[in-house]
Amino acid sequence: MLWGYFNISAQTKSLALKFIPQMSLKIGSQTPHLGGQFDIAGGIFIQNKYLAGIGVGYSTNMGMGGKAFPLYADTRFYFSTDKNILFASHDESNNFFSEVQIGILINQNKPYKTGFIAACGIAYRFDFLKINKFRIPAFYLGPNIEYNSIKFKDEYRGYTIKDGQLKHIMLNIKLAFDINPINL
Amino acid sequence: MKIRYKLHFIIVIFSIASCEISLKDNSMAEIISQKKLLDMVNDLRTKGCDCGGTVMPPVKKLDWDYQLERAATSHSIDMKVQGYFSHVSIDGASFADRINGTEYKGSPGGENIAVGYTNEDAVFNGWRNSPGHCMNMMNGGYTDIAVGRSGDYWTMDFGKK
Repeated sequence: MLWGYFNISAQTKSLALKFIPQMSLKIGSQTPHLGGQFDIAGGIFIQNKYLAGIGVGYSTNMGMGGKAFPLYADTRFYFSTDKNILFASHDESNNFFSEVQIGILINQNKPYKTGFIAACGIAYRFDFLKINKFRIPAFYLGPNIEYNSIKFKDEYRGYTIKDGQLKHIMLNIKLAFDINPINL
Repeated sequence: MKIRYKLHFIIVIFSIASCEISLKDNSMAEIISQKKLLDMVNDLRTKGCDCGGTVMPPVKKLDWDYQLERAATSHSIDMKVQGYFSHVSIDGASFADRINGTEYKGSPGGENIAVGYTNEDAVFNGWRNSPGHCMNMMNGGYTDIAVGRSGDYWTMDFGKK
């Protein structure tokens, strides 16, 4: 997973609202093997460490009848410590974060039904350029593995054409942007 | 050395991502390789071929259509269950009726059927070596294709949008 990240102001209070639009390249086993997804995740960012939010997206070409709408709970933990591993940092910049997402995959394209989706990953945010309090742009690099399952059933002319379940895992490559946190 | 470890890590992640966990289908239709059949037909179409002495020029590739797949699969199952081999169903429905009964957005094009073949390569070669079926696969007016299989009964439907 490759993350592109843009952040032009930092959080100054312990609670903030954070919005993260993301674009993903999805590599999976089903035909077609490549797919795309656009998401917007958002939630409450706590003490520069925790994000508790939800996300909604639009996904296409993932071997599931074409288009689907993922809707998920999104939790993240940013390793915001004084002593980070690679560079000095006091917040989420130049640091790791981990993420867990669980939700549903809304799909009404025949023969597929609404399915289940779960993803987890870890990434590192690189902040290469910093001018005063402006940082442009920063990148995340790390793996994100997604698992999903979806049932399908379809009948035609009195015969069951399809009746089963599809399960697979995939790798997501994401480009993400961080909208300014809104301090609460 | 560290770079080698990182490369191994990336390879492992991609390997995991490309692993299909399971695909279960309890219907009477067989799971076929859509990609393989589509690739074989489109390879033939883009190169052009000789269908029993008639030279067929290269034509555009076809897209797989799920509505055509429903029509093709239902006919393969019907032939197997009712024990016949024909383009006309027992109830009198033609291939066009079966396609028009789906939600296919275009119009019916043609149909190839086969029995006695056990895999995609064999049935494709059977159709490829039969002039009429070969010309169907090379018809430049078609835009969509799908294949359905039940047991050793195969149906290939074409449509045009």
